[in-house]
Amino acid sequence: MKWIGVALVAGSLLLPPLFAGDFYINLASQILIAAIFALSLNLLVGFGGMTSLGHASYLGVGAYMSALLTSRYGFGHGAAALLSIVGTTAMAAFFGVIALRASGLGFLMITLALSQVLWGLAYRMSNVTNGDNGIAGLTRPAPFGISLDSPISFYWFALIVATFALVMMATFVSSAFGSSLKGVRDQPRRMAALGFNPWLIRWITFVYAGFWGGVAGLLYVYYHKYIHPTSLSTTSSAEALLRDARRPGRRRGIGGAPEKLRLCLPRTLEYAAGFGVSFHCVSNADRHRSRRKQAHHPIARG
Amino acid sequence: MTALTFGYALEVVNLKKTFGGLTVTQNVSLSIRPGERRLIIGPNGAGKTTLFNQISGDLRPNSGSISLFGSDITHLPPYKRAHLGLSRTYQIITLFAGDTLEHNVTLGLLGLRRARWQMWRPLSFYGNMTTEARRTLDAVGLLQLATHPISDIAYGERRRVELAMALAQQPRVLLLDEPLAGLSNTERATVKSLIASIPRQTTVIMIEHDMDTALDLAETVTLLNYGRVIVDGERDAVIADERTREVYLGT
Repeated sequence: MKWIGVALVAGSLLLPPLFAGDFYINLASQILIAAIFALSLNLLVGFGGMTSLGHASYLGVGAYMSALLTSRYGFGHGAAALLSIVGTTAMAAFFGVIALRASGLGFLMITLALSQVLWGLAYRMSNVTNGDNGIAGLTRPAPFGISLDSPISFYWFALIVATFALVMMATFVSSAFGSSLKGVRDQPRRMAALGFNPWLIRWITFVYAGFWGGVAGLLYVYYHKYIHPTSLSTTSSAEALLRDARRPGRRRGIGGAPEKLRLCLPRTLEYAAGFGVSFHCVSNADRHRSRRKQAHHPIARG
Repeated sequence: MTALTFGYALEVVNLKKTFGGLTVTQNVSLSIRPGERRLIIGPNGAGKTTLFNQISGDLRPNSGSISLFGSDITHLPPYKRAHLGLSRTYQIITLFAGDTLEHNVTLGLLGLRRARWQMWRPLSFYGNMTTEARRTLDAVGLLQLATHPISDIAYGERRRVELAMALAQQPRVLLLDEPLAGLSNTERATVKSLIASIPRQTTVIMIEHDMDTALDLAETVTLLNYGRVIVDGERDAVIADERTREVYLGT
């Protein structure tokens, strides 16, 4: 029974490139990127009990850093990717120190505020970020000389990264540290009395989630070859959070590897389905609205 | 004499705690010798649990000091106190309801080991911890339920898991906050013999309302009322004291 499920999932991920058209392959790539992003947020919300409303910060900053370094400062893709990930993770380390002074609603408000600062910077610091025009004309990297410009090659690239991300995050939450994390989520006071340092456990998880958010951001900017301040917006954070609402980490019995996969995959697929549907609606609606929206956008006019 | 040779396991000096205008701990001083069995009694609202919360570090006192085996722990966070050998149970059961008994006790062991920072090996990798957790569960008579989740077991059994979690840590000082609360007579007898069997390396400080059971376990008794120490001393002396009768029976 278990293997039928695994086969179905593997099949649905491996077979589409064989027959699906470019539109659906591109959609699948975006689903994978969204899945990495959702999984990283789920480390915080589901396993850590830290409801963040600013997770788009890491996706956006990872993407912006890579875009700026490659287009404006002449870095190669390898060095730019490395710097973006290191930069995003360092930012998460700093933001974690600020946001983890609070918990619950306070934590949510601080993460929201911090992400709004970044969003504002992306909009207003137009001499660097190009403001509302975003940064266009970016390229995709060519790891080991393999071009990622075709939808299919990019899909395989995204699939490899997403699989690696899933394995890494699943290992993290089912490790001994993962047990500490879930304990701190459920009974922080008891955990402290047992000898665990709740603050440090939360902070490490926060930084790790930021790291994977940055990875999602890199894929995001590679895919779109374009970056705009909306990627940093609250809407972007909130969308990821809403799809995360069922919190798989809350379920019982996280032990062996198969269990682990069962916990993560439905979430990923659900997120993917949600993303696919909303993407479809939005992309259709945008076709009609895009001209009007540009003319009326308050900040674009301001 | 012993006090001079070994020092105190726990020493509380002039502890004071207020919540706004309400003073809940007033100049409380306690000196507890290693291996001692101390019972803390007092009417509702006397400040017993608040005192425990200050000793375990959940609350910071306004003034005064707390030391554990001679080292000052007044300003240490709770988790550092745990590493110095302080362990506690809660009056309101604080367990991980979705997890198994075994996992709950293992968390108690994990808290004091470096493995709690291990990010790629699962908890099940540490077989010796599981073995030890099961041994502790056996000691409290719950081994047959080890793989059941806490939510499946009865209240009295949860009380014993509370105790097992603390005992697994082999603490030097153990704080028990009403370990008998809400138990039936048979369960009381079980938990009583359990507490009695705690080795002498562990100093036990216990809050309890059930005098019949608790006085049997205690060697020394501290009576608190309105945040003050009213009487403090050997068990029989405290029971016989006029002021004890006053607090409990009225004049």
